Amino acid sequence: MKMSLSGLNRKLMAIALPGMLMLTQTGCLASGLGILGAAWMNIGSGIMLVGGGTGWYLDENKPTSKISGEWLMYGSLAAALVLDEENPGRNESLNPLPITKKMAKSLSTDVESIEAYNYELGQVIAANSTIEAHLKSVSESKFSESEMQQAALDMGLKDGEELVSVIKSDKLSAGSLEKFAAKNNLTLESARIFLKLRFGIETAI
Amino acid sequence: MKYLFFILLLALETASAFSGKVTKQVFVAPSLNWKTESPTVVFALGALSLKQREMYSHYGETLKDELKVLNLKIKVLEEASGIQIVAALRDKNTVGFIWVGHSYLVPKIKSAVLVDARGWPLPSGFLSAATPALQFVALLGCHGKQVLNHYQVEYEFSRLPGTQTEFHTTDRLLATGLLNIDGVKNALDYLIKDIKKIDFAKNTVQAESSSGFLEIKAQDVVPGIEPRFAYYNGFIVGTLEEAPGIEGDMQVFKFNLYSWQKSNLKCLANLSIMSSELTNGVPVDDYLVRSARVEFLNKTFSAQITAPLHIGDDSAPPSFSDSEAQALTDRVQELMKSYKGPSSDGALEFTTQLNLLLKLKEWSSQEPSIWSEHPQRIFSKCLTE
Repeated sequence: MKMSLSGLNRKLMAIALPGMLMLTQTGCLASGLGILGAAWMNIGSGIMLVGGGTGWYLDENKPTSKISGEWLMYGSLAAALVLDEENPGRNESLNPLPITKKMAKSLSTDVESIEAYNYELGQVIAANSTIEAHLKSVSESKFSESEMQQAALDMGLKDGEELVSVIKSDKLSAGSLEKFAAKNNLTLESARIFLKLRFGIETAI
Repeated sequence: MKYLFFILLLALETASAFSGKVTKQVFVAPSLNWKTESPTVVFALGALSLKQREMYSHYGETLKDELKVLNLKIKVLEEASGIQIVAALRDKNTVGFIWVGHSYLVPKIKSAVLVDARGWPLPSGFLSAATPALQFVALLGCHGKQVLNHYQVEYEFSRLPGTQTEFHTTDRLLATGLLNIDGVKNALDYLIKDIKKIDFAKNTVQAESSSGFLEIKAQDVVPGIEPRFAYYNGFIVGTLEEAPGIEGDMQVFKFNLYSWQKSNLKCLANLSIMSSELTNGVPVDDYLVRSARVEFLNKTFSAQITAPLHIGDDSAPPSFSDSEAQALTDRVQELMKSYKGPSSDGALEFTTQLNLLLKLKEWSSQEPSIWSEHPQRIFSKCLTE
């Protein structure tokens, strides 16, 4: 059996977990993109969570740090509210979607389809991993023709030419969507929602 | 004069924008709420600063004083985690739930997440853990409307028997002492008045016994690394933390299921196990799911698992000797000493490094050979009859 974590300092965990939140809620500083809103959200949530968790900025013996810390927190969060509109945030398409009529309308679907999407999240994540692995190769300019062909087949597309066409046009034909869904063990509607939400690809059913 | 008027207007606007206005919605169902032996209201404090936590935990006492006429018990969760909240909602005595804590906007889907005291977002389906004993929920924090959206309140209460009232703060932000305004206190004052109007014993029925159970056998689930919620047909039915049972090298988890938790989709028995939020590359626990079985409404469902399923994020489990594990522990302690706060130089690197070390520590006494190299990030299966 693995080593228990109970021996680890609780304070350590208290710092580590909010740290994870900072990274995950924004994801930007971690990836070096430096989106302004995300940076501010990082600072604000960092001060609030880590500072709050450790008493760092609320040290009664340091009134100056208390005042500046609190105002920095409010200021940072306020800045984040204004600036975080473009923040990519969490991986929306890889998390359960809120099951609401409003959400359904925004995705041009119905509430039942969002329920089904959430049930199929495991397949969605697997499909995403395949696509992202290929996209990584593209960004590193490692793609040969045969790899392009393989990527297309992995995604359920006919050939590399069709893949290039999808990437260029952000559109997928109904027939290709059907193949993509079957390849990834997804219902048609879940496949459509995933491609739209994650990659902005529009499809017609 | 016009400047004075402008300042006055600004002050009024500011005061009203942060002051803790509360809106309520009532979800009436034809079925009745459950009768409870010891009706309890849970007062949970999520992500807050130390000062705010101290300030608001006192409001637990205020609630006790104010609501004693109704014979309600008040259970205060001063550092509420998602796991504690799910446990509280699954308690048949919980008739009310009040949440105070920070929330974060998720602009892309126009919602906002509530964050627990450990820094983890609450799962969007957390209200699905409630029983029909629940009669009200109050979510107090910033971005009330977006929170309502994220936590699919209407959907959850439409499938839970009984009548529930939902309260939420409608201000974009909630003051916690800013400009001497305490929005939380104002919201609680409003809430107390309304709670007093609820007759918790009226139109209630005997609590239903469970209609079956879900049994999960797993291996190497380490409590505390991440919250792992088990969903049956989209209802949170429990968490994989300390296992109540052990069979050989397997941890056995068993959760009660109730009649309303049946599926209305093609798949009759859907099981998912997942963390609160799936994130960008944050280290999580790695564990094995060995089997899953459901007995529900006189039917038996099971997952076809031929080899143990590796759930987690490490594609190639590293192997560590005891001395290497000790070296890692020492390194963590060393980093801890040099940590100077979140905005200091190298703070981000420290956090990332620390997370990595925690994960490596998790693997330090593993036997990598039994783990498949390609883990699934979540467990999600339609169980078959």
